[in-house]
This record gives sequence, C-alpha cells and structure tokens, in this order.
Amino acid sequence: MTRNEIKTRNLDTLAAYHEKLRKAPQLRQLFFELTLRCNEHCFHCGSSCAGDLPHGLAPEVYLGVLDEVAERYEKKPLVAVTGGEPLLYPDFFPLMEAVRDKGFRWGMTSNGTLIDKETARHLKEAGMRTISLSIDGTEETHDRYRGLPGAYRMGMEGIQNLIDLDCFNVMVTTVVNHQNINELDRLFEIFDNMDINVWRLTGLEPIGRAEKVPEMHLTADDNRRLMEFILEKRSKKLPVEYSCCHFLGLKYEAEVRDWYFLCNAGVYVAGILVNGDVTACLDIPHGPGTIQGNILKEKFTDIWENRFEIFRRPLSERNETCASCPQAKWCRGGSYHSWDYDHDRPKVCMKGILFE
Amino acid sequence: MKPFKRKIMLIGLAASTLFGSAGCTAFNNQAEEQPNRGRYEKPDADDNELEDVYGPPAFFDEDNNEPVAVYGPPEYFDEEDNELEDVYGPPEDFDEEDNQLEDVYGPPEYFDEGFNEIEGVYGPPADELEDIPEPEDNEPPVVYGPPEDFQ
Repeated sequence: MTRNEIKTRNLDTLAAYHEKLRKAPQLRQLFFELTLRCNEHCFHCGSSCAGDLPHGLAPEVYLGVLDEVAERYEKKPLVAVTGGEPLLYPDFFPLMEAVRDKGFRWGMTSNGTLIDKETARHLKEAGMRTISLSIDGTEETHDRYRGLPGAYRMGMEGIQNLIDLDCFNVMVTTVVNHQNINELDRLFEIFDNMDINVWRLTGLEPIGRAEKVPEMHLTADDNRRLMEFILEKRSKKLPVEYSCCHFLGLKYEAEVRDWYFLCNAGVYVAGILVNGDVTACLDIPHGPGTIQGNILKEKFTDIWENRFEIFRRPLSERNETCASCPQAKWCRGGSYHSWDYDHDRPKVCMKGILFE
Repeated sequence: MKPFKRKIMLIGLAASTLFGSAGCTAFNNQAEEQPNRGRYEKPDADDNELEDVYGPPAFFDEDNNEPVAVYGPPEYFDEEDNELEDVYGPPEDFDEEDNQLEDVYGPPEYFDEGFNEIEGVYGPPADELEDIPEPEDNEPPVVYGPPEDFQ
C-alpha cells in the first residue's frame, strides 16, 4: 500500500472510532482552570488573563469532583491544571498533593517564570508528571509579547530547573504567528541545546485576545512554511511537533505529529472554568451553547453523561459547505475551539491551504 | 532535545473489541487482507526510507514508563499491543502551486461572504512595557471563585 492509502485507512478507522466514542464518551482528561490571574499579559492569551482577575474555586470543590469521578468511572482521567498562571492559585500545592494522594496523574501548563529550584522540587514531590511551558520567541520578542520584562529569562530558567530534576515530561510550546515565524530557526537552535522532551508548535488561534489581532495570524504561506519547518526537523528524528489542532490533509497528517487530527473535546476531554462552568475544552468560546452546566449547581458526572450534545455530533453537520466537503468524514468541521458558534462555520479551515 | 520517541498507536485487536462484531469498514478490510488480524507483517522495503504511519498514540498506565502529556492525544484503547503496517513508497506530491484563496482565518471564498475582520492591536512595543504592580501589604484574604456576575 502507498503511504496515503495507509493514512486513508487509518483516518477511516479513526472516524469510525470517533463515531463510537461520541455515543459512549470516556472521560480521559479533565482540565481545571485554577485561576485567571497571571503575572504576564500576553497579547494572544486565549483565556484573556490578567493580574486582577479572580481565582477559581476552593480546593475542596475540585477534590469533590475527583471523588465523584473516581467513584463513578473505572479509569481515572489525567488532571491538567491551567490558568492564567496556575502557580498563582493560593492553595496550589495542597490541592495538587491531594490530587496525587487520590491516585490521579496530573500535569499543568505554565509560563515558567515562577519555577525556581525550590518550586521545581516541590512539583516533583507533589507528583507532577508533565508540564507544558510557553516560549513564544527570542528574548526581546517573548518579553514584548508577554508584557513582562525578564519573562524570557525567568521562563527559560524555570524550564532548566525542571530539566535538572529529570523526572517530568517537559514540553515547550510556541504559539507561532505571522511575525515570530521568522524566529523558528533561532528558537530551534536554542531548544536543540536543551534537554526538553518535545517542542510543540501551534498556530495563533482565533480565541481570546488573539481574536483581536487578525494581522498577526498565520497566512496561507505561513502555514505551509510552518508545516515544512516541522517536517524538516522530524525528518532528522528531532522531537518537534505540530499541535493537535485542525485537519491538515493527507500530506501533513501523521507527518508533523505522531497522530492524526481527532478533536476529543466533549468525548474524551472536559474542562471546568474558574466559576465552575463545565465545558468540553477550556479554549472553546464561552456561551450558552457551549457551557454545559455548573458544578456548583449539579454533579459533574451528571453533566458529563447527560449533556455535551453539541460536542457529540460532528460540527460539519451544522454547515452545508462543511458537510459536502470530501474530507468532512476526517475533519468533522475541525477543532471545537475554532468553530464560530454564532454563525455555524469554521474559523479555521486548511482546505486550499494545505490540501485541496 | 531528548531523543525522538515516536508515539505508538494501539489499535487492531482492541479496536475490534471496541467496534464489536460489526467492526468498521476499514478494519474489516484489514481482516480480509490479513487473516491473522492484529499482527501485521512488514512488506519488503523499497528504495525509499521506511516510515511507519501510526495513528494517535496512547497514554500508558502507571506500569509503563512512557510519559503522559497535557497536550497530545489521550489513550484510546486498551493496552493490547498491536503493530500497524509500515508505510512504503513516497507520499503523493502535493500541488505546490500557490492558491489564491483567502488566508486560513476567515472562511474560504466559498463560505458566507459576511465574515468581518475585527480590528486589533499588536502586543506593546518593548519601550512601553509596564511593570506589574507589586501586591500591597494589606492585600485582602483569598476569596475563591469569581463574583456571581463574572462573565
């Protein structure tokens, strides 16, 4: 079989699997938005975080959800905590140690600026398994994008402090835009000299504050350039990968990442926002159609089992053009976070950009 | 960077369990091609560099040493090992001709024409960065959860 024939078969298999999964969802990853407070102010923040925004719920509320989940389901999901900057959550370590003690694996996202050696050691003792840290450019670029002088230096020190303990899956994530795409080669040189596990590249997504800067988004040529950059690095067996977003077409699927596009929001993944609202993924726009309930008013497991209808049907069914697309069975309307729920159409479509 | 470790998809035998006796069309085709379904034999290599094409990877459980990841697909199937066929032959050539469609943001031209761009601003230039204010000594105690009217 040719490479594309194999890919086609795998994509068909996954499409059928996803159809089964939509009918019988399995909670495998649970995000907690611990806080919207952050010591940075990124121009592209998907959660529109800032220094004066609220923290999430009290620790016992989150732990109650985990007790509920552990009692109800055989397999414990991975708990992923995010923000804002999760380390700013006042009871971060007591909460995460309790998560560990309840037998849940957990990971987090972070800007790395608060991870000194002591904090890194504490994260290890609290049972952190994996972390995604953000570096969005060389020093001047990164500091400017993040609105914090010294952000790059502190972030890189944080990454190194984690690497030195050698017990975490350390992923560095770079959000690529129309400007910093010109720094990828330089960034590669930097990360190639660090002992990180993965360098993850994602395009600037039209969510949060990033939606207000269309001129910074990747053009068609930028997207192709990004794909070829990743391909070239992976051809040398280097751990660079594209994010899980978007169907990329047969040329790039399973080439720029180890897997195929398969947005699992609402069938594998759920998220709890700072106010207790339940959604399928923290990046999905918040609205009456996407918020499924609130854990302060009802049980999380009831919400997971009885709601989420919008996420358990392909988005492509909601748009005539999507539905008639030959790739609809594999794309299904794309990522749930980049769907325009007001107009029922995708905000991002790689057709005509990366595939015909 | 650490050595590249391609994540392996676990499918096949487990998938047949998940899909039940009816299975899926793609998987049934595999069965027809290979009676001993679930264990694929590598075809002979051609001149091109051999690459396996795997589907989504799995998180392994506590007994395995594979790391979990916040970003990256979760485990899909049970822990039964299975190999997929290797993929041989060159990929299809992609049409390199530059297309004239709109950028990826905003729908392609065959979508509704009413998409409006939102005006925006760049991140602040370096000389306009503001210091993050330090917390006051009399900072109030922690209050969990946003106010009721928080949007």
